[in-house]
Amino acid sequence: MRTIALCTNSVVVSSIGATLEGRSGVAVVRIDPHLPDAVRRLRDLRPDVAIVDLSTAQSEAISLLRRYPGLLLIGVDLNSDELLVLSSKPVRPLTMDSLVQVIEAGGLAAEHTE
Amino acid sequence: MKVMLVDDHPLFVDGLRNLLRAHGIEVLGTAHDGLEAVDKACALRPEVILMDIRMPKLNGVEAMRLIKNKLPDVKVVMLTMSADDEDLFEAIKSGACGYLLKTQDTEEFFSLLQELAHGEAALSPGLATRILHEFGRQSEAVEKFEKEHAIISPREIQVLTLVAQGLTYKEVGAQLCLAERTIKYHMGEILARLHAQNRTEVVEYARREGLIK
Repeated sequence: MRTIALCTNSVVVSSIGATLEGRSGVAVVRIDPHLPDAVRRLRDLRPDVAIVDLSTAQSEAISLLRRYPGLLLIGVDLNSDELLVLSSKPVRPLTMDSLVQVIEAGGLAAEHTE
Repeated sequence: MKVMLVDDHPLFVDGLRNLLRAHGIEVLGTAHDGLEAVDKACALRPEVILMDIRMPKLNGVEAMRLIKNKLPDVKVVMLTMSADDEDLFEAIKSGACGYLLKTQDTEEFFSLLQELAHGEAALSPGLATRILHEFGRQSEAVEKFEKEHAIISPREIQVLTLVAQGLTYKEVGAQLCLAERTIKYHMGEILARLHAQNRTEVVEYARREGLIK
């Protein structure tokens, strides 16, 4: 069972959630990112994926990625008709070597250097 | 409430259908462009149509006009990503019963749809104010235009039109069978009412404001 957290309450994301709920093997949960306990709920829930509406919630997306390391975040944008896969995989320490390593690895596949 | 959905984005229209059904709203059918919307509306006769604006073949506002010609009682609510004033005002002027943004809060969206069932307009927050401002602006523009026309009489417009063509006062008088001094009098009145300094200024102003061609 894959857990999907909807982190924007727009009609766009709610509509996507309504379709996902009909699929087997998927559990959909709604989390309002503006509520103070959103991060705690995300940590407790440990969703496989979170979905945000990029046309309204870009800053919330960045905030979620920073506060919930390792989250696989999918941003959807009906304006540009695209989805963006955003992943926060922290790399420490912040050195030129680690930065170059991430760049050479194409970003997403980078591993911790410590 | 019996609803028809019109949107060219398959993911969104399928999702919205599921979302509405989950909230107990009957979805009679969907269409993916404006032309299909007109045909399906006539066939399905929904109470409410949720209509996107930017679509291929025929945009949502044009489709709405055609649908309302055939089905005047149907309520058409634009459901769009566009918050542009141009789209908003055109939709309202063309008969939309509401204008909702796809980015708005879902609970609010359903609350506004319920108000539609009670005869209220369904407008996303902030849009009503913009419509009122536009209405006020247009009223001011109409009032100003009427005021300018009321100040200048038809005879004075005749005089001004000929003067704008470069005729001398004597030539204008000859054309209108009036004495030169009468033309000078009319021009003096026009200059005073429009607060212009000279003939050139009054002609420019009159052309700009559409008082003369």
